[in-house]
Amino acid sequence: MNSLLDQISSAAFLMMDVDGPDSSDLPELIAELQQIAQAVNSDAATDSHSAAGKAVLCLQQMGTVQTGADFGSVVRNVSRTLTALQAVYGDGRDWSEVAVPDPLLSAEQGETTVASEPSATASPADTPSESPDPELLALFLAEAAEHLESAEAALLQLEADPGDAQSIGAVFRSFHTLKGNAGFIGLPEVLELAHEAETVLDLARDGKLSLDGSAIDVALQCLDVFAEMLSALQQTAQTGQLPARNSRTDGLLVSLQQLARGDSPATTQSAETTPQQTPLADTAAPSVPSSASAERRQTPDRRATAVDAIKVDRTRLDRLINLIGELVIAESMVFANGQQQQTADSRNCSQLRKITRELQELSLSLRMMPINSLFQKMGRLVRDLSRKLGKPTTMIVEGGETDLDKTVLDQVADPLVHLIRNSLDHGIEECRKDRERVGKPAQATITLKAYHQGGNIYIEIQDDGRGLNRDRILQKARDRGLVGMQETPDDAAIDQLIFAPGFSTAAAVTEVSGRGVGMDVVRKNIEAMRGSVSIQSTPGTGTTITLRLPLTLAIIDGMVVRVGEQKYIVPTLSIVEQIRPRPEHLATVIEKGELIAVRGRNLPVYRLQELFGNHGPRRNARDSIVMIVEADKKQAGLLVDEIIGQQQVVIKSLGDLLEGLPGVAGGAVLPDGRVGVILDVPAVLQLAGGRRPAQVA
Amino acid sequence: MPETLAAPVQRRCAQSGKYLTFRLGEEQFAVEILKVREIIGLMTITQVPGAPSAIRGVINLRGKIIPVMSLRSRFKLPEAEAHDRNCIVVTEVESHGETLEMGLLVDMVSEVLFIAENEIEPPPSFGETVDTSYILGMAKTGPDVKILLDIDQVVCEHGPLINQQAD
Repeated sequence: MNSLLDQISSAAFLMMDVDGPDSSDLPELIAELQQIAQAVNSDAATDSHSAAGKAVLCLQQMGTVQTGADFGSVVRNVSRTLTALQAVYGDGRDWSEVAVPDPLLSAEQGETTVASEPSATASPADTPSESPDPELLALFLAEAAEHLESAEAALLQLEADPGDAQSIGAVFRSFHTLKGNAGFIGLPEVLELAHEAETVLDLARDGKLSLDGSAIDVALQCLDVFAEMLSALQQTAQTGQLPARNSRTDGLLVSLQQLARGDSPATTQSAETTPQQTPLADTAAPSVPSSASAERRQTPDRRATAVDAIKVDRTRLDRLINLIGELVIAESMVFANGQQQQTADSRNCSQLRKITRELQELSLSLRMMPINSLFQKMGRLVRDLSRKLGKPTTMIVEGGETDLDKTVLDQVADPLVHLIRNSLDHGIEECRKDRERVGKPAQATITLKAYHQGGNIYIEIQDDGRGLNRDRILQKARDRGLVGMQETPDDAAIDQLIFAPGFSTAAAVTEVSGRGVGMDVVRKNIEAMRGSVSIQSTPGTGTTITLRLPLTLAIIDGMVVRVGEQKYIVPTLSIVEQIRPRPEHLATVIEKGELIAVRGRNLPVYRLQELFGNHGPRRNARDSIVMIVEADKKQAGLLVDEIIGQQQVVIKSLGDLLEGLPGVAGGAVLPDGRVGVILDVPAVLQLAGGRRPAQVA
Repeated sequence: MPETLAAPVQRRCAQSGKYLTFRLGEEQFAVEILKVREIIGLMTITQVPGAPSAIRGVINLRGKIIPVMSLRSRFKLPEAEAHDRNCIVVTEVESHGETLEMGLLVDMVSEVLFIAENEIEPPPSFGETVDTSYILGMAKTGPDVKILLDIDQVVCEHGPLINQQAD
């Protein structure tokens, strides 16, 4: 039945392009469907009650469709029929197992369609249909998410520049593809909504409709509802159950139809309110004036050239990167030993070396992505939030093309959201008058900047608001006992106070922020990525928060040291200096604790073996090297026997069983093939100081 | 080791099949061959500070870091001196629905042999003195008795070892 299957596929594809009864592709589609109907007719028992018979009738209805009104329902029916046929002829299912829709009754006989008011009860269009094939569904979901993202970006662009033809085209294409795909795999609700949205966008494309603020609102809400549908469909992939109809769909359908007719939409929902039950009767409500629309200017190079990319399964990519890592290790092991052979094969050896180095660099870059996608999402956040708070704000983005590792990207999203919320909530002045009084433009600006420097990526969040209120902060800190009444910390120290757990100077806890759980969690998360947060603020002018993050989480720069038989790796980030101690600088305390004097300060000295529970005869400190390390602003000395050298190592987990050992950040394979334990310096110092290190989530 | 043998955990039944046998001192043990990934000669084991005492440390297996458990230590047998017949048997065990790899340090590996159903007997009970929750059964093949180990239990008894107080 192969040619029949081909026909079914090609009919399904054709359906994507047929968007109305006047589509030029319609005659071809009708012809295809007729052929399929005939084939089915001659193949199976097709009396009017059998499943096959119903299928034939459905297919034939495409040829009799008259108006746009029932077109949508016919399309739905046909697409479900095609899905059923595919199951029978492609997967070998029996007719009794597939769900073939009933052929449509004529419009007068009560089948409600999309264009008329959707009834509150489930419309007959919701005949239980077969849940789509899980593989196809997964593909659909992945692609759909991308379409939603690009549609959102284009819509925000349109808000700033309503005539931008390119953006209108982009949004149209997104909805169009969404509609087509949904039809193909049989997702009626997505299809309905996409179809209506596409109609509106088509009118805009032809210049028959201009997309004002409320129209864009409706479109953005569609995207939100689609996102909800997509996440509900994630469940379907596992359970096989189609999700229930989204509560906002019907209301949105009404709004979209009104837009298409040229009326202003009934919706009074602002972008961030929770979905309401569809108030179909409230058609009298005036549309919300879209003042305080957030514009988003971007540096001209934003229009990212479409990257020619392929989707790659993530596990395969990880394996590839792992293998390259092992190759690098094996290569360095070979060259560590074979010094003699080098002269004979030196050209091949250096060729091998070169290729391996290049592979290593390439593998590191495989997981790199531009930070732009994250910044785009922030654009939506700023828009919605600035509206909600009544603080008109623009967002400027610089350096969107800066690359960073996908894992870092994923983990920096939450902290970024929180910092932006903080800026808008606390940083930006409450009302325009406050700003105008000090000569600032009524519109506030939040700038997001990203750049590479010294092997790290820097992300800056800058606002031109009030700046940190240091007096309030100091007062609050004193109230909480964090700062003594007599102490007078300097500005920098006061700024750091906002990172204390539970700290917040917000007078009231808003939905957005003020609960005081934010800044310290932000810092913890950033530091867990081996990064740092710093803050700079000028009262009246604004605040800048700078995040410094490593380019990749997988590789660490470390100093390999030997203590007895064991080799440890100390992250270079934590090392202050190395000293060969002189006898006069060393001192003991009650014969157990040891101290070293460094430039006038006395620092404790710890012996790693003892910290880790191995007590043996103590080697004289004078014969060892003291490595001064720093963590949490405290310094201490670690006694080591030998410093072997600086090494870039790939961090490897020690396995589930050994995860979470205090003092151990992970393991690494050293060039000699042995495993080195990477020290978690802050935890080591805490252990030594007698405190249990906090469990890092 | 638990103080009481109250309500023994679901014990799997020993089945006939191929087993890898090895020695710890005078005693012979066997592990299902399907759970064995490979056998390697003794190599440098890196100690991991703070690990439970039964875990000697970790090794580098072609770039992957794998923990190594000393079975002698695990069964509270006296330590023996290392010698060149010592091996690390790399096994794959199931723990909480996940697969993890664990190297087992043994004195000496003997052979792979097929143990039939009729050669297997359930483990005897020794009352409270000996914990037999990790024994699948006893096999009598020839003159020797082989202790069939439930390697999942051995490695992961009472949850991940890390939560136990280091003995």
